[in-house]
Amino acid sequence: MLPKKIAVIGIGNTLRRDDGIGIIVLESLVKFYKREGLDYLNFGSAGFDLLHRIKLYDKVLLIDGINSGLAPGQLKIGKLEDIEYTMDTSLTSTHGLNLKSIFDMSGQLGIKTTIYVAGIQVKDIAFAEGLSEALNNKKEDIVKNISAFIDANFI
Amino acid sequence: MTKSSKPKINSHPEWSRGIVALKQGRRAKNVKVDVHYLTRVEGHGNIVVDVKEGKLAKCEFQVIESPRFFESMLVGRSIWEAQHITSRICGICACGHSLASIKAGEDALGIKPSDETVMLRKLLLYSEQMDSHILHIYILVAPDLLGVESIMPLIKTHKPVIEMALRMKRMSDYAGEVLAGRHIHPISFVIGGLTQLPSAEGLEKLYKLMLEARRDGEETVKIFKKLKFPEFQRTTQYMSLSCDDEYAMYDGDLVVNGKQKTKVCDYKKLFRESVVDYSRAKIATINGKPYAVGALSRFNNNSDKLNKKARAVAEELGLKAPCHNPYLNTAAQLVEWVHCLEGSIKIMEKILKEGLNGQKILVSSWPKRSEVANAKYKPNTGTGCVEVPRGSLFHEYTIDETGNIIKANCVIPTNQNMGNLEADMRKLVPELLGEKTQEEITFDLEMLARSYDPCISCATHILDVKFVK
Repeated sequence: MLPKKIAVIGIGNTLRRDDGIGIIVLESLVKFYKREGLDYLNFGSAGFDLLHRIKLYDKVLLIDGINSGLAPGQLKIGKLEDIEYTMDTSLTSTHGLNLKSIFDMSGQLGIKTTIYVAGIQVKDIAFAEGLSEALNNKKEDIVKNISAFIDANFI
Repeated sequence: MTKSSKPKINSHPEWSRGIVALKQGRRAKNVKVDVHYLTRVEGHGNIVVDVKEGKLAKCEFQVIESPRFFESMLVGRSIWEAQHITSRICGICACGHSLASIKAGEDALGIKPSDETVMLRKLLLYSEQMDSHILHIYILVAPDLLGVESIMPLIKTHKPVIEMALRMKRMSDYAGEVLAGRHIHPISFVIGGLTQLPSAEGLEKLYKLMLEARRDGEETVKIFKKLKFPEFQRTTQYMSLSCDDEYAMYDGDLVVNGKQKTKVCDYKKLFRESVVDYSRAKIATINGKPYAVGALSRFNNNSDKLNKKARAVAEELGLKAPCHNPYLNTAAQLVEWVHCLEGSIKIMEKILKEGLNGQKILVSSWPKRSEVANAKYKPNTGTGCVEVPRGSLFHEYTIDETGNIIKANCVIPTNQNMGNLEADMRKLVPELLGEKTQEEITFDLEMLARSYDPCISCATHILDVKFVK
């Protein structure tokens, strides 16, 4: 029995190449490294639904593509408070997923969930299916590393 | 509803701390509005207005998103998988796109779904209308009426109201989960029926949440009836679905101001789309003139079909058809929210009393990939239309003898509204000259654009982030 309620959440659009990396990694985690007691959730490009879901858990790990100036496919995992966002300065949209707004709102609404972000540097987010070669080559390592993080921090 | 030419006035005690009055400045004669990236809309759009010595030289709403090529993506794909692709067009109207897609597929294939399936589709459509409307009303429009930049300051000053709004939103999200597997990118609704029935436990919980939402809806009406919307009138053409027996959202014929009844399959005869050089969105016209779609159009064409509670709310808000004030699209959305909630409760009571007959809903014969590859189809074109939160949504597919799509056309409500928004802007700006400052005119134009709830695109959400540890 796990002491806390924990979710692993994949985010992304699989019709935009590397933007779908969060979903593809989530699917591999479920297939090869599924851990009992954890919830695995595919959130696609959902927006506010995420806010409702996050608050149901003590801890969540969000897996998503990022643009952080790293090498394509490089993985960074950190707590939400360890990340600086430069995306939007105000709530500009509610339709696509605006993670910064979701995080800001969750903080202001007093949601206590500890949020971790596993960010994977993208290379190509053109409209097409399938990852870029750079990310495809690193996919297996990314999945293993995230699984190791889950085992070390959540199990 | 009280109307005012000054939008930032509020009298409801719940909102009383959120007011920021505009400072009056010099009245404008030369105005240059250049709003790059209008906020609190989906996607990227600019408002560009140029007034020289009191004459309107330029007035444009520029859509600057890159094209998304969904129609091209559909070409070569099986008609059976179209709705899974098109539901990705929008993170809010995912169910609406899915249903328009399914209807187009059924039209092309000559498949008629059961009444039970249609009932569940209507329930799903109602839930999405409620979901989107409450988001627009509270998250996107309320800050305009209260003179704050976004919802963020309101969380501090009016936390119980925002929590109520999120509770209302949660109810709709949950409906999507129970009915379709998930709200965003629905899974179980397919051509011909559903691949899985909603669980009895989920339906019971959803019904309870809907009953509880009635109280939140009443409170929302109390709040918004005291907020003041700008006064502005422009007579235009309002297009929507319409049918004899209900407030049309899922089915019906197209009407314009209650007339020009047109079958959905003949939509190209009713309106024309054309490109303009300053925007990446097409402009649509009927009889050579712009027209509006969305909640206000539906209300104007079909208000006599609203259920009793929704009619009462319209009366309470002072909304009467025909209404020619585009700012009151938000009020029409609130009326529709109540209509959809009551409509959903009625359907849920029928389901809970009579149960769902899987034999009439489930499509166990939904073809496998290998079966699709070997099947022969009659080449055909099918059209599907549903009313999504922002208006009439059309999908049209042509299939070949393998069942693959060889041509696709999607007409999105926001595109249809663009010409009408610009026409509103062209009438509004001269009315404000001499009355308001440039800052006030800019604000009024932004608010006008937001009242249409434009959904310019579903942008990718890649984050620019920096890890500091």
